[in-house]
Amino acid sequence: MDKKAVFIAHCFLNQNSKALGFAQYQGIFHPLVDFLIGKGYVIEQLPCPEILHMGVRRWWCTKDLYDTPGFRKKCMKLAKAVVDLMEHYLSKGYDVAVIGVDGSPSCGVNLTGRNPSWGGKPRDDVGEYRMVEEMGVWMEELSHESEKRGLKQIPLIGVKEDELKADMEKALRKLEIELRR
Amino acid sequence: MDKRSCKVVVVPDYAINPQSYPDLPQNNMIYESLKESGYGVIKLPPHETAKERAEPWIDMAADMIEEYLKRGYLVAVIEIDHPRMRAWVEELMKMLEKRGAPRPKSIKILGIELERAEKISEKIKTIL
Repeated sequence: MDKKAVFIAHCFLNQNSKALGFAQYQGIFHPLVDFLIGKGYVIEQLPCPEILHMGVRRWWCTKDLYDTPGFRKKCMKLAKAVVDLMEHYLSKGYDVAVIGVDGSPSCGVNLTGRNPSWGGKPRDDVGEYRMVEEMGVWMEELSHESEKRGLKQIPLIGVKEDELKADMEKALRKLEIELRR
Repeated sequence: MDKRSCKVVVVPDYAINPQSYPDLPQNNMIYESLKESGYGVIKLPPHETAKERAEPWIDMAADMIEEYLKRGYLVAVIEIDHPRMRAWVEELMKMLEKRGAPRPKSIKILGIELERAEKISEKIKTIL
């Protein structure tokens, strides 16, 4: 069995942290967590900078809205605590990986959402949440911190919630392959 | 449709990672019971973490507890009555007290109950 510590996005253990409208499970996103437990991995829960910064009743946001010095400072502070813990596991001979949420403005690894016209008075005509091939703000700051400390390359894996929803088994097989790399 | 339960528990690391505590029962009964009951989980850091490195995690947990309680969510803390499991829960409670923040509900699972699924489930039901 792999000796691996997997740092998962906060919301996989706590769907109550999602922006309103996006919780797919009551509490734990259990198919994914059950899978990781079944593999014998140690599970660490990343902090959720969105809820810590904007609270549980926050509006839906794009990466553009979170891309501010204040939010980045919050993420940098959180990244220090996370990378401290990664160092702890690496020093004990564990491999470390991160699982983010593709599409998220903060936790996206391969995909995030942008639209510069979002902002100001809430209204319906601001246009869609446009997916772009970039990291979210939190994942950017986390990977900067781990690079800054010279940690060996930590695999950042992006999971798409809609893929999990459409075909859980297939999505978990894909995740398994990525975790083995 | 948003499926959140608006119920959150703060748990020691053991509840999610029993394999890191070989001197304690090796099962996922707490996790399974929380999953079945629809609780979201905020996990505290591993118990061997140095105090200064654990502090930011305790601080985050305290922030989330305050936010959830302010918004009317049900929040509880699970304490495991074992010498190695108490430290971070105690620190968390001290931090909340220092802030003058409301206290979440608290339940204690005894060491001898860690192998009794029905006892764990019973305790978790008392949160409501």
